[in-house]
Amino acid sequence: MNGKKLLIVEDEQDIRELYAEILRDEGYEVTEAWDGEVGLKTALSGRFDIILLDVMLPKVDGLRILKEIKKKPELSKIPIVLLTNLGADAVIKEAFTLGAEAYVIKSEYTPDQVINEVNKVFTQETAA
Amino acid sequence: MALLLTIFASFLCIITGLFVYLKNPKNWSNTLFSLFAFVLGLWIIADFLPLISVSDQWALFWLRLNMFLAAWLCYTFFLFVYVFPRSKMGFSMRYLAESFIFVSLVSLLSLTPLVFSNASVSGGAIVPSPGPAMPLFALNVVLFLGGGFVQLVRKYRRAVHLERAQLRFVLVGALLMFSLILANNFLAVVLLKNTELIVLSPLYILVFVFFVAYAMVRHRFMDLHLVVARTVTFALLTLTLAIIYVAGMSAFFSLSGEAALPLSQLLSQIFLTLIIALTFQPLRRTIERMTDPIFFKGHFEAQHLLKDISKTLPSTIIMKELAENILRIIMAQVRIRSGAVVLTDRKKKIRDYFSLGFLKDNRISGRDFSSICLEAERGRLVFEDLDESPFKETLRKYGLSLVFPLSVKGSFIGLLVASEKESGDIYSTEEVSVLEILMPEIALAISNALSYEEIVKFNITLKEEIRKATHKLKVANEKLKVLDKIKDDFVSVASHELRTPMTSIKSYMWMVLNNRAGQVPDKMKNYLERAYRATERLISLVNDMLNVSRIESGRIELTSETFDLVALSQEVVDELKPKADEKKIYLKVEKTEIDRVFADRNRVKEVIINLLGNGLKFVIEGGITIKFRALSLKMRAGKKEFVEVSVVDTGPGISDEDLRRLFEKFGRLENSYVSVATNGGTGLGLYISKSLVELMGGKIGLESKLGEGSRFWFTLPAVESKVEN
Repeated sequence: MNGKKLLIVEDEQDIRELYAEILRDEGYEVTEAWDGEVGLKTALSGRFDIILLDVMLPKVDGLRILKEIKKKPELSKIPIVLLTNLGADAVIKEAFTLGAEAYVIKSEYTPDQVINEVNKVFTQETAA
Repeated sequence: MALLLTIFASFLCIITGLFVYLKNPKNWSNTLFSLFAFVLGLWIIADFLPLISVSDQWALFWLRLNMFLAAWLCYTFFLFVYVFPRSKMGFSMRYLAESFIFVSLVSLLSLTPLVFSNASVSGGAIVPSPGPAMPLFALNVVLFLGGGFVQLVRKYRRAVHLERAQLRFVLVGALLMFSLILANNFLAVVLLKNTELIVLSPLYILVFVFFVAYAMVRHRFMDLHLVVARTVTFALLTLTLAIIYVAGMSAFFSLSGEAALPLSQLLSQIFLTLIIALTFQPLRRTIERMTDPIFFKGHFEAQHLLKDISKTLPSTIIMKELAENILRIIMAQVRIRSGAVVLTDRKKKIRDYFSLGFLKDNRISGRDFSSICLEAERGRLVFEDLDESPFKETLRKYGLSLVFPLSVKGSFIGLLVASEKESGDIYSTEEVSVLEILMPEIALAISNALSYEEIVKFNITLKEEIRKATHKLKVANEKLKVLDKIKDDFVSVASHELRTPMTSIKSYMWMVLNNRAGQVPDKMKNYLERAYRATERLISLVNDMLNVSRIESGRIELTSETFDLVALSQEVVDELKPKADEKKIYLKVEKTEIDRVFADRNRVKEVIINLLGNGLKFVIEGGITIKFRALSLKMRAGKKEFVEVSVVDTGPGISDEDLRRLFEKFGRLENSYVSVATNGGTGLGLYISKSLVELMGGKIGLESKLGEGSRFWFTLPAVESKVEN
C-alpha cells in the first residue's frame, strides 16, 4: 500500500475493473464509480489524492465533473488524469485548460503504461 | 410686236431670277444667278427703248443706260460663273471690292459722254459715236465676259455628271446669247453704224432662257425643275383654253352670221374665261376645306396618316400601347367609329385583343373568327365589296367593315379590323389603299412588340427557374451539410464505440500475455500474440479512419508551436527502437544544426511514426536514417525558409508505378516483395501523413528506385532561430 487514495470514474465495466485491479496491485486504495452522477458525488465527498476521469460518462460528462471539482477550493489541488479513447485534440486541450494534469488514451496505452502515467503524477509532484 | 416680245423676254428673265432666288436665298449661286437675270431683264428694256424714244436726247440717255446695264451684266455674269455651283462666295473681300469699284467706275462713265459722246439719227436709226472712254468699257466687257467664259469652259471641263450637263446648257445658251448680242449691239452698231438689228435682241435672250429652262427641267439646274414643269403645264393649259375659246368664238360667229366682236372685246372675253377656268380648281378646294368640317366628311390626308403612323410605330415596344396608338391614329384620321387589333397564336386562336370602341362583349366566337381569318389571309376584306353570303353576314354580325390581315415574313399573326366610318360613308379606294400599304409596317411593329413581350416573359421565367434551382441547391446543400454532420457524428461515435470493446480486448490480452493470470504456455502465447497484434491493427485502422474522416471534413485542429525537429525525431526513434532491434536493423538520427519549425508537434510526431513504421515494415537489412536540411523556396510572396526531413531506408525500393499511388487513400504496394498481410498497414497512413503535412504548410514526397532503397521526405515551415542565452 502506498497510501494514496484513488478514484476512478469510468462507465465501461471491463476497463474500470481492469484498471482498478492493476492499480490496487500497484498499491493504491481504489474507489470505483460507474457513472457521472455517482462519480461527482463521490469526488466531492471523499478525500482523494488522485482522480481518474473518463470523458464519455452517462448522466454527467467528465469535463463537467472536472469543472465542478476544480471549483471547490479544497478539491482543486487534486491531480486529475483524463481517460479517453477519443484522442480528439479538442477535448484534451479543453481538459488541460480546465486543469487536468495528464491523460491516458485507453486504446493505446498498455496497462503498464497506464500505471506509469499515474505514478508520474506523484513523482512530478514531489519533484516540483 | 417687238415691244411685246421685249416685255415678254424681260418678264421671263425677271420671273426666272425671282424663282431662282426664292428657291434658295441663302445659296450664293442662286443669288448671283438671279442678279444676273434681273440685270438682263432690265437691259433688254433699256436696249429697246432707244428705238422708240421721242427725241435724240432721250435716245442718247437710253443708250447710255444700256451701256451702264451692260457693264453690270458682264460683271454679274462673271460673278455667277465664278461661284457656281458652290453656295458660298469664295472671293476674298479685297478682290471683290476692287472689281466692284472698277465696274462701278465703268458703268458710271457710261452715263457720261465719255463712252458714247453723241448719237445722231440717220435714216431713222440712231447711230452713236464712241467717246474716249470706250476702250475702258471694252476692257470691262472683255475682262468679265471673257473671263466668265473662260471660267465656264474650265468648269465644264472639270465637272462630272449632272453639273456637267447643267454647265453645258448654260455655256451654250450664254455663248449664243452673248455672241449674238455682241454681234448685234457692238459690231453692227458701233462699227457698221446699224441699229436695226437691235430689235432682235429679245430673241437672243429667249434663246438663253430656253437653254436655261431646259437645263432646269432636264438636268435639275437650280432645282427648279418642278417649278418650270408646272409653269409650262400652266402655260400650255392657258394657251389651250385660249385657242379653244377663240376657235369656238370664231366658229360661232361664222355660223351665226353675227358681226365679229371688236378685238378689244374679244381679248377681254378670252381673259375672263381664262381666269374662271384657271381659278376653278383652287377655289373648289378652298370651299371644300371650309365646308367639310360642317358636313363631317373630313378630308383624308394620306400623308398625315402615314406621318403619324410612322412616328408612333417605333415609339413604344409595349404591345398594348402600340396597338392602341395605332388604332387611335387610324380611327382619328379616317374617322372610324371603332377598331381592334386581334392577335393570334400559331393555331390561329385569339391570344390578344386590343380594341378601341368595340364593346367588350362583342367578342368574336371561335368558329366565326377562324372563317374570318381564312378569308382575310387571302387579302383585305372590304364589307361593301363583298357579295351577299353567309360570310358577309358574319361580318355584319360583328359590325366589321374592314378586315386587314397582319403577316410578318409570310406568317399570319393577326388582324386589324374596323367598323364603319363615323359618317356612315363607305371607305374610299384611297383610304383602303393607304391602310393596306401600312399593314406590313404595322404587322412588323406588332411582331417586334410580341417578341419583346416574349423576351420579358422568358426573362421572368428564367429568373424564376434560376431562383428555384438555387433554392433547390440551397436545400440540397443544407441536407448535405446535415448528412455530413451526421456522418461525422457517426464516425466519432462509431469509432468510440468500436474502440471501447477493443480496448478491453487489448488490455486483457496484454494481462494474459504478461503472465498476470498465470504462466502462459508457449503455444497459447503464440496464438494469443497473433490475436493481440490483430487487435492493435484494428485499433489502428479505426484511428486512421477517424483521422481521414476528420481531415476530409476539415475538422482537424492544429495546435502549432515552435519546436526542434531533431529532438522530436530522436524521441520517436527511442520509442520505436525496441521494434527495430527485434528486426536487427538500425535507426539513426543525423544530428544537424537546423532551424526550429512551426507546426503541430503531435501531428508531426504522427507523421514521423508513420514514415518510420513503414520503413520498419519493409527493411530487412540495413536500417533507416533520418536526415535534415534547410531549404529556401521561392513562393508567391517571396522567399520562404523550410526544413526538410528525409527518412532514408535501405529497403527494397518502390517501383514507379507504385510511387504514384502510394499517397492515395488505400494506396498500397501491390508489387512489393513482402505481403501486406504479415506486416499490416491500413493503406491510409501515407494519405493521412500527406494531408497533415500539407495542412501544416509543407510538402511531402518520395524518391525511390527498385533495389536501391527509398527516401521519404517532407518539409515544414522554419522559424528563424533567435539567439538564445
